[in-house]
Formats: sequence, structure tokens, C-alpha cells
Amino acid sequence: MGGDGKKWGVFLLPALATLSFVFIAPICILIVLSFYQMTGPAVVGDEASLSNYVQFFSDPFYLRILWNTFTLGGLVVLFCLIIGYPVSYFLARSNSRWRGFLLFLVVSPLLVSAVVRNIGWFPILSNSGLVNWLLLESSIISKPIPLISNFTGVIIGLVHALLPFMILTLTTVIQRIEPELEDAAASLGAGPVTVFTQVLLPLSIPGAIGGSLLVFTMAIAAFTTPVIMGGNRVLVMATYIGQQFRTVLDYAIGATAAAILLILVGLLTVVASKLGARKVEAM
Amino acid sequence: MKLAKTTMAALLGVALSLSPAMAQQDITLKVASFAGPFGEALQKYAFEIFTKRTGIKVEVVYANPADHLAKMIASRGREAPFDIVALDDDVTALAKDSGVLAKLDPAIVTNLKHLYPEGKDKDDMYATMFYFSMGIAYNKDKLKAAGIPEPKSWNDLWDPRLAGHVAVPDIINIQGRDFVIQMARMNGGDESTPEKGIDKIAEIKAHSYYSSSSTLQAQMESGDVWMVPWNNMRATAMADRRLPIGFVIPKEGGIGNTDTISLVAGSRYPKEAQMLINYILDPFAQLGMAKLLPTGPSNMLVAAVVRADTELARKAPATPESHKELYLPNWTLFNKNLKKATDHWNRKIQK
Amino acid sequence: MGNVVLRAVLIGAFLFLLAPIAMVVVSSFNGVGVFAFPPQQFTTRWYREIDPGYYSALYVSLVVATVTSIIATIVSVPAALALARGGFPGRNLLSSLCLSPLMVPALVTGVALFQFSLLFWDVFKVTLGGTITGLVIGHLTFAIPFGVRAVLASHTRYDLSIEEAAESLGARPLQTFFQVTLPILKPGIVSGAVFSFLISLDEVPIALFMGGGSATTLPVKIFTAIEISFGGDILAVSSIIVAISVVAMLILDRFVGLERLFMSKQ
Repeated sequence: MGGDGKKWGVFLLPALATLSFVFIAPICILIVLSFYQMTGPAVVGDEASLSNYVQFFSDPFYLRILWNTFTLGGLVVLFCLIIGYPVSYFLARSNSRWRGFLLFLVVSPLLVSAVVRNIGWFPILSNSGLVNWLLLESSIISKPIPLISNFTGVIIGLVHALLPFMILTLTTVIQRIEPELEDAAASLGAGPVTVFTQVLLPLSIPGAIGGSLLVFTMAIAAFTTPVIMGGNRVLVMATYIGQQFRTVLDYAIGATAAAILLILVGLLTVVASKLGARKVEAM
Repeated sequence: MKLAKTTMAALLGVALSLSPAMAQQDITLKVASFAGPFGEALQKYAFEIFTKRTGIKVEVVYANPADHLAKMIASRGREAPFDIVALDDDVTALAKDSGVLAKLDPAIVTNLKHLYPEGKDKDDMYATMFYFSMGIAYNKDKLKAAGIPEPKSWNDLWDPRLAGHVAVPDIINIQGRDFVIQMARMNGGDESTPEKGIDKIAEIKAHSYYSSSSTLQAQMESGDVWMVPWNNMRATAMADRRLPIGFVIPKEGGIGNTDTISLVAGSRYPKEAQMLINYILDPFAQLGMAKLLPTGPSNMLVAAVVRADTELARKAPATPESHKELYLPNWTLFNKNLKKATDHWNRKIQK
Repeated sequence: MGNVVLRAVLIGAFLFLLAPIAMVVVSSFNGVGVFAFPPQQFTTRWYREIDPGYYSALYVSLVVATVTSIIATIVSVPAALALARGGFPGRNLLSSLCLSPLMVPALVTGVALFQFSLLFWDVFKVTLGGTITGLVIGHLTFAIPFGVRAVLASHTRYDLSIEEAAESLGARPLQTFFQVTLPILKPGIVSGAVFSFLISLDEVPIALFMGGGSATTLPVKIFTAIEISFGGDILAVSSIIVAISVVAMLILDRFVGLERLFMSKQ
């Protein structure tokens, strides 16, 4: 064993052969398909052109889908940051004997099926569900707020699904910031707010960007949660692609949308991993 | 796509050896069906008896009719994804025109000759299983508490006091399509101008757009939804459970629908599949489904029993005469405009 | 003061994380209007009404997850070793290629495989869609990269001199591989396999497009049921899954360490 001979190449073959069959060939076919036109439901024509892409980027309807998708990703990132930051700060700094248990609680939802977690939101968020019941009983509102089967529901579902990833990333980053820096600033008379905005925040920005990119990418690529929580009402790239392939059978425009999503997510992942790499090098 | 096909043939020649040759000993028929009470009724009154008598197993694939059709069209000319399919009449027309159904043989499906003439397709590409109607279901208690009278007209769905409490059927389902057509007709259009109905429907301050009758049922039970365009089957079944649910055929008229059963083109076991279809059209299964769902049977042999059943007459369009009092949409015309309708729905209703 | 706020935020965040899971279980015993709060009537009827189809779907899921993670492990361990040690040209490119499926949204992989299976039938007259084989093919797309990455990660801490020592003591190459290399890489291999297994058990978009009929996985069966018949029985099935997940979680935490499992996923 060992050594650096070229013979190692042989060991790569099984993986490469399998991936070519199960992944590379299908993706190539999908991309080829995005250049064709449909002549009927599920019937692909014979002429290749760029017209699907032209149609996609010139019709306000498709641009709105794209806009919805980005808005969704942006809002999910925002809420993950707001909720995730304090939790990460606690997990990074605490010596509490509960720390291990709490970290366990952060990651444990990931082991419960995503579909099941989405289902759990229905009794909580529906018009006569837990949240609206609490608000109505305490007379804060006079009629229920629709929290599920709409855009709000999708955001809640995705924040729940992706928050653990944000917390894990931020916790790692905050752990690397010396607590002494905060103590020093505090001893020089800086209040907690100043310590946070002047010391903690600037130092944790690289990590926050990395975590945000990760969450954003996963949010715009998600399919299951937007379908279940959106109640046929939310049109983002993923739900649109699913609809085209499953019921409308316009494979070509579906493939075009899929190719665009593929490129977006691919670019974001590369940027995120480049940022992450630089971050590690800087440490 | 020729290029893609040849590339793939070259690229994947090796891969063939990977897929094991399947040797099928016992026959299992795959039936694509609706979920919920209908699936249970078929299971109870047709499949179990069929399996007991013939030893042929039956496996059910549940999904929306539109999804079933998509699957059949996607695999057209290939091996069929299932042998038998149960569909609403809107999708049946589309399936027949798409060439994914196969002709029924009256020598095997002997019950074909007992069906009401209007329940038979002239090309025998499908057989009607039963009749049902579309009207408005509502929660009596909630309406009373809010001081809103019980609905009499389709226009009552636009009552501003109902804002946020009306569920609208999604256009993927027959209820949604019925509703679009009815609203188009009431606004100077017909099956060829679905946009006229959709524009009107977009003005409803909807609670949600349903594609699952079970979800809707839970939302009706919990009091989330007060009023909804729905079919007679689930609404009357809920009333039977002493829930405060009413169902009305509005004064402008209700809509008549049928559910059909067909043999799928490319089925591996056409003979056995048709034997099963014959069981579903048999008087025994017909009466069972009529009582359980409730619906109007399509088999003339049970006419006498059905006519005597006043309770069923109250709950369902039990006889073809009562079915004729409802508006029967021209599905061929609507389906020609389905793409336009779906597109308009996407742009107007989905946010 | 700041402490109180922080504590409130923390409690709120953890309630948020656990609420839907707890609520699935509570509502599955609610007799009337399963989405309503407070529950009105205790019942176990939903558990009795669970369609037997859910159990066969669970069986399909387990078979697919097991086969997928076995094949992926067999294929990815040599690949990861080659990528970590080989000096052949284009190694970086091949390495990105092996990990690239993780950069593609599962939905896109799903629809691509769906089109692929249609063309595959046209050319070879073999059905992939709606078969267990098709599901395994679909899930290998992420299982192989997970395996490669997990083994690569554990290889970075690997000390090659141990192998040299073994060889200088007269061990044959194969003997060295099975008695020295594999045991050291075992944590990476196990965590890759476990992760592939878990993701396969939970995956929807790919299994939705590659499955169907008798090859329907449990999450897909529930997913489609939400669209067409979402009622109390689904909450009951979901509660059973929660119970199984909690047990699996405790076992995993004991033997692998949950934190490490997910940290390595990033």
C-alpha cells in the first residue's frame, strides 16, 4: 500500500462509472432537453434552440417566480440569523452542564423525517391551531392569522429545517473568537451593546456569511417543505419545476427552470466553499 | 432528442447487466385510484372478493387523477405504470383523447351491457362507475354564530363576512374545474373561456386552495373553513357523523360528475384486469359503493333498489334522471383550454 | 437583564425547534378536527386506521436505504483512498466530480433521473422508474459523495507511517489494508454509511420521481397522502416515525455522536 503510483486511478473507476450512469448522464439529458420544444404533453419536438431561456428571462411571470425564490431564501436566512445568533453565542460560551444536552436538542430534529416535521406544523399554525388559539384567547387578535398553506408557512417550515445548520456554523465561529477580547472591551467601559456591535459582530461576520450562504442555497433548492407548507399557493422555482414535470408535462420549460436552478445553486455552493476555505486559511 | 438517445445507448450499454431479469410468477394487478373512502369502498366491495375468488393480487396506487394521467402519458408507448385506472370524467376525456386507454371487451366485462346508455362510452374505452354532484358544503354552527344565512346561490361564496373562511378547490381537481366552468357560465362565458371564471374566483378572500378532501374535512371539522364548493360524497358523510355540516345544490344549478374505470394501454395482464373491472361494475359492488360514499350507481340492475331508497336519493344523484338535472360540463371543450386555464390560474391565484 | 432576555430567546428557540415534533404526537390522539387546539376528544382510532400500505412502504424504504448505503460504501472507500493518495493527473477535477452531486438540488436530480428512465426504456426496454432498482440508482447520487467525503475527511488525520511500519514487519499489502488501514478509517466509513442510510430513509424529491406503485418509500407515501388525503391517520403514522427516530437518535448519539455526525455534513 501507500506510495503515489498512478495505479490508484483504478480504484476510482467503480465510483466514476456508477456516478456517470446514475448522475452525469441524467443531468446531461436534462440540460439537452432544456433546449427543445414540446409539441404536446410529454412529446418532445426535434429542433433545438435557446427560445426556452429567452422566454424564461423575458416573461414577467417567470421573473416573478425567480424573485419569489430569492425573497424566500433571503427571509429564511434573516430569521435563521436572528434566532440562531443568540443560541450559538450561548452554546459557544456556556460552561453549563446543559450545553451537551442543548447541542443534542439542536441537531436532533434533523433526525426526524422532514415530511413528519412539516406535518407537525399543521396543528400548531392552522386557523384553529395552537398559535391562533393562544392569540385569540388572550385577545391579542380578533380573528385568526393565516400562518400555513401560504408564503409565511413555507418560511416557518424552512427556518425550522435550516436553523440547526446556521447554529452549528455560528457556534463554531464564535468559539474561535477569544472571550478575553469581550472581557477587555467590557473592562474598558464598553456596554454589552457596544461589545456586541464593535467586537463580536465584526469578528463573526465571515462565519455568518458562510452560514447564510449555506442556508440560502438549501432554502432555494428545497422542494418538500414548499410543497407541503405552501398549500398549492406558493410558486417558487422548486414547486414550479415539480408541477411542470408531474402534472403539466411540459418537460422542456421544466428542464429549463431546473437548469437555471442548478446553475444558481452550483455557483452559490462554490462561492460558499471558497469563502469557507479562505476563512480556514486565515485562522 | 435522437442525439441524446444514441449517446445514451453508447454510454450505458454496460449497465444493462445490472438490472436483474424479473421473473413474475404470481399476477399482481396494479390499480390507480383515488385515496380516501372511495379507495376503501373498492377494497371492500371489489378487490377482496376478487382476490379470494381468483387468487390474483391487487395493489393500489393512490394519487390525484391528474397525476395518474401524467404518469400514463409520460409512459405512453412504454410499459404501463398500472393496469387499471379510476378517473373523474374530466380526466377520462383527456385520457381517452391522449390514447392511453385500451378498449374494453364486452365478452369479459359482461356488466357493460347493464350500464345506463349514457354511462357507456361509444368506443368502450371506459365504463362509468357512479354519479355524484358538486354543490356547496358549509358549517351550520359557524354560519349561525356569525349571523350569515345558509347559502342558496353560488354568489354567497363572495359574502365579505366569509373572508378568510372559504376554501377554494384547486384547479388540479375536478371540483376546481367544475367551479371554474360554473363561474365562467355565470359570467357570460363557457368551457372555452375559463379565464372568465378564474378572474371571478380570484376575488374570493380564500382561506386556502384545497387539493386533498381529507385536509379539507379536518379543516371543516375544526371550524377553520365555513363554506366550500365540494361534492356531495364527503359532505353528506360528515353530516351522518352528526357534525354540523350542510350540503346544498345552489339555485343556479349544481354540476354532475361521474367516476370511470378503464383498462390502461400497455397493461401486462389485460384479461385479468378486465375481469376485475367487471367485478367493480357488478351489482354487489355498485350497491356497496352507492351506500358507503354515497353515489348513484351506473348499473341498471340495481335501479329498483335505488329508487326505493329515499335516503340515498336525498344524499346523491342516485338515478340517471336526477343526474340529468345537473349541468354536465363539456369536458372535451374544456380540456382543449386546460393549458390556458392552468396558466391563467397560476398567474391569477398563486402568489 | 441581558441574561433574562438571552434566556427567553433560548427557551423560545428550543421550543420552536421541538414544537412540531411534539405536536405530531399530541394531535395524533385528537378525535375531532385533528388540526384544532386544544384537542377535543382522546382517541386511538387513527392508529387503528393506519393503512397497511404504510408498513410495506416502510419496508421498501429500509431495503432501499440498506442496499444504497452498502453499494455506496463499497464503491466510495476505494475512490476516497485513490483521491487521497493517488498521484494521477486531474485528481482535483475528479475529486470535484465525485462530490458534485451534492451541489445539485435533489429535485433537479429527481427530474433528470425521471427523463433518463424514460429514455432508458426507449433504448433498452427496461423499466427503471417505479422499481427498487430505480430508487437505489437515485439514492446512490448522494450516497456515493457522502461516503467519499466522510472517508476523505477521516484520511486527513491519517499517518501513513503506520502502514510502512506494518509492511516493514512483513505484512502483505492486503493484510495491511484489512488489519491496519480499514480499522483506522472505520469511523469515517461508518459515519458516511450511516449518513447515507438516514438521508435515503428521509429523501422525497428523487424517490418521488423514481418510485411509484410497489416501489414507494415511506416519506413519499406520506408526502403524496398530504396532497390527496391528509387526516388523522397520517399524524398517527408520523408519531410512530417520531418514536422510531428518538430511539435511533439515542443509539446514534451513544455510538457515533450526533454532533460529530452533523458537523461533518457541512
